[in-house]
Order: sequence, then C-alpha cells, then structure tokens
Amino acid sequence: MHELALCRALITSAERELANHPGRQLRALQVSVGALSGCEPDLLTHLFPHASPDTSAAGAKLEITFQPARVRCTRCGQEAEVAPNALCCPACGSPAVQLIAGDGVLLTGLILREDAHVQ
Amino acid sequence: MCNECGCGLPYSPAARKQRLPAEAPSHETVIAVRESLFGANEAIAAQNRADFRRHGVLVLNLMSSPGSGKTALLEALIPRLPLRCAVLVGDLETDNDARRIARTGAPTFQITTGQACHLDAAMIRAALPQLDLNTIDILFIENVGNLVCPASFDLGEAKRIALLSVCEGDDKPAKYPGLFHKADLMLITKADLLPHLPQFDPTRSEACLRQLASSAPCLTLSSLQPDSLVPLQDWILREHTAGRLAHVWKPA
Ligand SMILES: Nc1nc2c(ncn2[C@@H]2O[C@H](COP(=O)(O)OP(=O)(O)OP(=O)(O)O)[C@@H](O)[C@H]2O)c(=O)[nH]1
Ligand SMILES: [Mg+2]
Ligand SMILES: [Zn+2]
Ligand SMILES: [Zn+2]
Repeated sequence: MHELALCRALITSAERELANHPGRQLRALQVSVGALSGCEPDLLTHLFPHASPDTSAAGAKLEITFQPARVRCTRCGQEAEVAPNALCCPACGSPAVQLIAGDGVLLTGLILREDAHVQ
Repeated sequence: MCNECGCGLPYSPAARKQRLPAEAPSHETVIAVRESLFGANEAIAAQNRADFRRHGVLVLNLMSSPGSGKTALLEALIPRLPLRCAVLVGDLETDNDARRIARTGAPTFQITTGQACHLDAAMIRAALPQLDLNTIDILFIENVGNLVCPASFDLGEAKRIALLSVCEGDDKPAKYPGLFHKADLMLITKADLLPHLPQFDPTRSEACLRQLASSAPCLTLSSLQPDSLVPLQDWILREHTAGRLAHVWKPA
C-alpha cells in the first residue's frame, strides 16, 4: 500500500550508507520483508525502478528475502517459526511470546561495485 | 534480546542498526547493514510520545477498515466522557468526518492525507501546534480506514484500538494479523445489527485475536446504543488514570 514510500525510504537509507563508500556504485539492495509487515514484496520490486531515477540507486536491483514470523516463548523457551495469524507458542500453546522476527521491513545489505568513472 | 533481527522488539532503537562483518568478492563489495525502514518514523513517534506523556494526555489511535464506525463512535463517545477530549482525523479527501466530530464540541483537526493510506508520526507532529496539550486529557486519533498500513506506523500513541464491525467477516483478525496483534483493545462495532447478521460470531473474532498471542480486551458495542459504550468509557478512564500515575512515578 505504501510500497512506493518504502522504496524511497530504502533509497534514503542506502544513500546514507553509500556516502561512507566513495567511488562505489550501488548494484543491489538487500531487503528483508517480514510476514507481518503488510508489505508486498512483488509490489516493492515493481515500484522500485519508479522511485530510483535521479538517485544513486538508479539501475540498482532489489534482492528481497521474505522473513517468516518467529516467536520466542517466555514460558518454555521454545523459539519457532509460526504462521502470521497463529503467534502463540507452538510447543506449549502459551500466548506469552516475544515476536523476534517477521515484523518489519529492513535494509539488510548493499552490493557495491567500483564506479566506472572513478576507475 | 533478538539476535536474528533486533527489530522485532518494539522500542529498541539501539539494536536496530548494527553493522555486521562484510564479505568482499573480487569486484563487488557487500556491505551488511540492518536498518528498519520505519526507524525514521519511530524516532518522530518517540518525540510525540514524550510530549504527550509530559502533558498527561492519553493518546488513542483508532484503526479499522473503511466504514467500521470510527467517526460514529467518537461522535457518540465524546459527549459521554467526563474528560477534555480533542481529535485528529486522517481522511483521504474530505473533511466530512472532522465536521461530524466537531459537533461534539471537542477541538477537532483534519489531517488530509491525499494519497497516503495511513497517518505517520510526522503528520501528527505537524498537527501538534494546533493543539493546546495543557487543556486536553485525551487525544483521539482517527486513522485512515485501512487494515494494513496504519499498523506499521507508530504515531506516539499510548494505546492502539482496532475496530471491527459486525458487517465485516468475524475472522478479520486472522486475515490482518499485522494490525490486530498490536492492538491494545479490540472493539466489535455496530452490535445493534447483530440480529440481522447471525453469521457474525463475536466469540470467533475474539478467538482469532487470542491466536495472535494477544491478551487485549475485546468489547462489543454499538454507537446507537449508549449503554453499550459504558465498558469502553470505563476502559478509557482507567487508562487515563494509569497513564497519569505512571508519569508521576516514572517521569519520561
Ligand atoms: N447501525 C449502525 N450503523 C453504524 C454504527 N456505527 C457507524 N454506523 C454507520 O456506518 C457508516 C460508516 O460509519 P463511520 O463512522 O463513518 O465509519 P468510519 O470508520 O469513520 O469510516 P472511514 O472514516 O471512512 O474509514 C455510517 O453510515 C454510520 O452511520 C453503529 O453502531 N450501528
Ligand atoms: Mg471516519
Ligand atoms: Zn500505507
Ligand atoms: Zn512455550
């Protein structure tokens, strides 16, 4: 729904990081999309080229990894992957769980190559 | 603490960005970062929250699909609360909702979101100068009708309220877990229509909510039946008192 805004946020984050690596060009952005994030990976891929012209991410690709929901049970200690609409502990059934992954959309990595102009 | 992602835990900005050792193939470099795309919003939300706490204002973020009865609930509820209320309403195009709510006498401000499908913390921050927080006990924020996006955007509220009307499917919490699992209170609205909708079973909605590891209370009410609003009024008064006490004993 707000995937275009997410694309822009990705580019902002990437550009901030890129500033630490002068003379490098952005080839790809690695992104983790959580099962509970409400973000549609396909839409992200589709919209990214529309958000990137005139930025240092122009021509760069998105590499998206889907992150299933994971919980850690504070009662029995079990850590497990769960369906997004069944978040209780699969081992003991307790609702006393911490959601440890699958909640957000994260920029996890940048793939850079030597900038042709600088070489 | 979460070793896998560091982001699943709410309000842990220190863990959110953490550099990992990078691998370096011949002509390409992989830079590992770990940055939440909602980090910028959360930073602004934290500022909002600090302002609200300092003034002892209880902020409630109302979220639901379009037409679930958010505006009608505020119209019916506000005159019944013995507290000073104000309202921020997010709407895509019109100011109809703001005009409806303003009739209660509560200061009401419209946030026109244009194309945006949700409110974010910066929109709330931009609207704050219109409000005198010293003269408000409760600030209701009516989010844009949408069951997906609003869930991702912390506004700085104290509590999130998810509404589900009996005209919708009773399994909505299972279909939109991202929003419902974070709700602090679930309201089943338009209960006056239940006799016409035998297929809607409130206990099934609550069961779906429990599947999301949620212990949030679930109240069934109708904006057309004032008596049905009493448990919600009590919940709000309790939360308001609890928020004030928390501020007295643990200043933000
Ligand atoms: N019968 C009945 N109708 C209701 C109730 N609450 C709201 N409605 C009707 O449902 C329709 C939508 O209600 P609103 O309060 O505008 O819903 P909303 O969630 O604010 O809608 P958006 O702001 O567009 O997302 C209106 O026609 C209301 O009169 C209720 O408790 N009972
Ligand atoms: Mg409305
Ligand atoms: Zn959105
Ligand atoms: Zn367990």
